[in-house]
Amino acid sequence: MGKQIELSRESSGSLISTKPVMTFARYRRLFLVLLCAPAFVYVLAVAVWPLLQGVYFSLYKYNLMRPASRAFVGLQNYRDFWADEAARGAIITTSIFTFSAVTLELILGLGLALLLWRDSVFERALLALLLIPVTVTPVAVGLIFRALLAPDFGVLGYYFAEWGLSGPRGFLGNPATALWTLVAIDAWEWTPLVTLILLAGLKSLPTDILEAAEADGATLAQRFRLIILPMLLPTIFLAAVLRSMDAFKVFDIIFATTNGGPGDATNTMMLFAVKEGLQFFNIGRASTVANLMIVCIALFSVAFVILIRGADRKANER
Amino acid sequence: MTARQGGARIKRRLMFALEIAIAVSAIVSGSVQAQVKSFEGLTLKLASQNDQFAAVLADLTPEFKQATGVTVKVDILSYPDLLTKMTADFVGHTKSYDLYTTDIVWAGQLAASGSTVVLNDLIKRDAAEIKVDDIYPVLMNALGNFKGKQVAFPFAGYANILAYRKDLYEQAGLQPPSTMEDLVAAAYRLTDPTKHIYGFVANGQKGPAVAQDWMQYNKQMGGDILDKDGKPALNSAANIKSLTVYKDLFQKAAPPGAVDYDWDGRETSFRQGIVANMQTWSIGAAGYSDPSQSKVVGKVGIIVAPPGKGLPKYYGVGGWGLAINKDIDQKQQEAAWLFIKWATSPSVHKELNEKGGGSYIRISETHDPDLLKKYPFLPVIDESLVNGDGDYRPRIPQYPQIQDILGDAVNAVLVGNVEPQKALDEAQAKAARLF
Amino acid sequence: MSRRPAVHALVFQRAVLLLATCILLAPIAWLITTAYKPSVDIFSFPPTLGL
Repeated sequence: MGKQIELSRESSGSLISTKPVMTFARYRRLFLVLLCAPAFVYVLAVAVWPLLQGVYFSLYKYNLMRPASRAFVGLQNYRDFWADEAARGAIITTSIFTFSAVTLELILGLGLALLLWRDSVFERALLALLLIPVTVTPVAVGLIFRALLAPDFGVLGYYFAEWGLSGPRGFLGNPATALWTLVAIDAWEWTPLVTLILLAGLKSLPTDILEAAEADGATLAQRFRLIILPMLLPTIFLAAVLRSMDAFKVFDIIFATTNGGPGDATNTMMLFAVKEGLQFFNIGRASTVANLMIVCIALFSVAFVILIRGADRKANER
Repeated sequence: MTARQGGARIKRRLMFALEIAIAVSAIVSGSVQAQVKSFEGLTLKLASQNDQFAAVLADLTPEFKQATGVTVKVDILSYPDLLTKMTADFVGHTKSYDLYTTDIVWAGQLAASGSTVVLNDLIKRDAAEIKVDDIYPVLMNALGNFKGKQVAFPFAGYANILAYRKDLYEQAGLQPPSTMEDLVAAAYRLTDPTKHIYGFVANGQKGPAVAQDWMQYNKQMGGDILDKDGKPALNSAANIKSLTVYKDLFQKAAPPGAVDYDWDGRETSFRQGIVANMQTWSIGAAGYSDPSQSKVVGKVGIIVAPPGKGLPKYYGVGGWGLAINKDIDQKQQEAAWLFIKWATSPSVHKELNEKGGGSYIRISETHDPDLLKKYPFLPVIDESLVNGDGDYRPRIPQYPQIQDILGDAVNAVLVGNVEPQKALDEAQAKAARLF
Repeated sequence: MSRRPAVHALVFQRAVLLLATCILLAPIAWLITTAYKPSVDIFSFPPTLGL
């Protein structure tokens, strides 16, 4: 940072040097910027530009099949979406789904992570097996459970109906239980991932504090409540925000099982967006739904990040 | 002139005429050969719906290559995939595919967007080669004609038929139903939940599945989606009545899971033997006698779908046409037209059906002795197609939205959330806004 | 003497883990077994768990 590389020596004849003095620091900064440039340009082109286009299109009434009828309508699309009862229901359904699924996954994931904390061959082998559901394509997951839970000939569904555990129409055919069944399916698929994240967090906890607590005679419950949980909070929030972002966008498992039914029980915002955009080719309305989803996800992601920062600070104070 | 001289003269004239004929035919066939062979080396890409004809068609394309030198690549896609890719291709003018199989209900949107080649002149030009009169008129119209514009050529014709369990009917001493009322009565009679036998099954799943099945039953019971001016009339008295009957059947005569069934689900329930009556597309009919797919081999009767009492005999018609992408260049378009002519020609199409294609477009096919031996239910398909109705699902540009509106409304009724009158009133309000 | 509870706890923990793994992998096992069946047996009525 102290060395001056004077390029202007080449024009030593002139007293006025027009070239900027390139210090090592500036060189380095330029090099780092150039190194990031391809990634930056890529993100701009692939993520930011379509996002802006989405906002642009949401202000238009635009159907790809009738491009001539494109017209500027301002915020009318948003007003229409809010006025539609089914659409408002979809926002609520999506929120309920996200909150329930993430909570269930966190609780189960934390339990599994605590059980897997002991790092022996057995636990490591089981962790590898446990991660298999995460690797299955979401559409395939939906189809598997639809086949299993079918009340007339599904291996699970038939017996659930026979023994009266579910109604005769099965869990997925009953509007009261369809959404909770999907929450369970989502938990089946993603709990192992949450387990993995929380396990990494657990393994990064400083062992000296835990050993000291054990030596002081703290019980398991006390250790958990007073030491492990607070220090694990940043990781928990991290898992929560990652899962929330994905759960809000849930589509595949719902499309493959109930297609939004029965009635409106499992209608989510992403289903709306796909229907409008890829079945009716109504780009204006699809963009509207997508933008609303972005706003919702951004809001609670920001909330979570603030919580993570706060929890991180607290954890590091100890 | 002596008799001998006169005879020699006539002989010379005959020889001369014969030579001219040979020369002309050589030139003509040479030019046809030249025309056909001039497509040598071209490749056509075809996007096909994943129905039974798709795999068979893919198998037959090497024969086309042998005859004309054109390679045809067949991509088999699911229904939503096909529709999305096709629309994206047309809107973006990306020329991803040269040929598409197009559903009967897409004719309106294709005509409105003008994305496929209009075939009227080509058909007129090659009418003799195609043997247009051999093709069922209802298919020529429904599978690709909209307000005079032929935007697709019929390729796979389906008739809506009734598949019923002969053994269950005999046991109960019932005759196969000849009217819709008979069918409904038989369905209730044959339902015995303790034995897991249900008299009726249809699609119940929200969306296109329930909309399409209900529209079929609705028409048979005397209802109609559009009024005579072509405007939606979803909440007509007849429609409300037929929806009430449909709902009752679901609650009292259908397998409990039917409210979530799509085409796969209801076919499975019939093939597993838990259902006594199912109206379905003729393409699935051969599967019931296949032991690797069906548990009711030999027990299934196929008859025409029964119309309502006193109503005219109109049987539901569905199926797929072949359409040429308008964006591709002239030579590709001609090669594509050649493929369509070849694939729908009597000999090739018969071969398609012999290998299990299940798609009939020609009157000669349903009367062909070889096919009749293999598929004895062909006369049922023939009768259905002769008196067929391809418009019970309106083939208008707004069809996707109307189907979606009905899909929501009917499923809500079946699940018990709303009454038929209210559901159809709301649906009518939504549909009216589209026009 | 404090070894015993530790061993019990370990066995209990591992049993729970095994149970969880079985529940999570059961649908995958079903998927694999049905991959080799003809379609008439996949959706069988009444449903068979058979291999």
